[in-house]
Amino acid sequence: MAPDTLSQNRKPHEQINKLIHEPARLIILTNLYIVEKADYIYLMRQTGMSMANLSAHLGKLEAAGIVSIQKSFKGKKPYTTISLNEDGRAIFREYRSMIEKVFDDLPD
Amino acid sequence: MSQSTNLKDLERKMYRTYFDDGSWDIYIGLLLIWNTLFGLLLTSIQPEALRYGVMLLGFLLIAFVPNLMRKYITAPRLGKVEFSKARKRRISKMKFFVFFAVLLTANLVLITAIVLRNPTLSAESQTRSSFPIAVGFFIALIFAGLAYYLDFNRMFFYAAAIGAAITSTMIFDNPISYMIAGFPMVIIGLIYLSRFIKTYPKPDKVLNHGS
Repeated sequence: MAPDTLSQNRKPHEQINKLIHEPARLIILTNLYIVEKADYIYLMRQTGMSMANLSAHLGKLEAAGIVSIQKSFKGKKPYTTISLNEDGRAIFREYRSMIEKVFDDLPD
Repeated sequence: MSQSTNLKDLERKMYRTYFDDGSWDIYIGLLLIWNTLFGLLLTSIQPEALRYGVMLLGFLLIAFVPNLMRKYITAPRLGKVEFSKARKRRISKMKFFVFFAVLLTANLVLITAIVLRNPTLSAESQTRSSFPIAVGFFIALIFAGLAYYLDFNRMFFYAAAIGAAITSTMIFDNPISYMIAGFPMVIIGLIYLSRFIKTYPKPDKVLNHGS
């Protein structure tokens, strides 16, 4: 069986991106999806995560090519901004439609 | 559909958090109070050019208040964010709206001044009251429009207060109504500010930059 057919035969819940499905990362992505870019403090405030926790999750999302992390300097202080890149936005939209399909498949 | 609505609600909630620092309330309140102070105390300054210089200087200094508050109080506590393109479009629309509103208001104020200084026209009590009401109503509409584009609900009340203050100042020829309208705004702003500082304590300096 061709890989495309295999993917088509998989149920929606099997196609859910597990990297995004993790609650903490899902909160981060939801917050990034509705803005252009944000800094660390903003994400900490909105997600309620600690800096270490946030950094760990962002590291995984960056490694997966979902978020872009830009490091710069404001005066002498380092300043980091995070944004969801185009691939990340597409992945997030796909995740949303998959989740919708999962619940659509449930009986009333 | 409901998901996109929820995301919009979340975006609106996040955006509105930036009004919780009270900087807009304090800014508008101080502008109104300055109007009263200027009207009551500084009219004796001579020559006239110096008087208007002092007035402008006051407005400029007050304009720094929200900027300084955002730089030193809001941003270090809440972080910085660049909102979505849709939000930016809304803010651009607001700028256009303010530009045309200022032009229209300037014309209206000019016409009112001409009418009120005309002895034959201003002698009629109907003219004396209807023009200030029209100006007050129009300026209130402008601030209501600003509140709509900014998504800043408290400003709808402020719009009404500002309109009423302008009308009564023109009718009674006494600028104290600006103070009456502005003082509660400053108090409300300070309450919001203290609540904001309590809700969002400054994060540790080490955490500031996320490196």
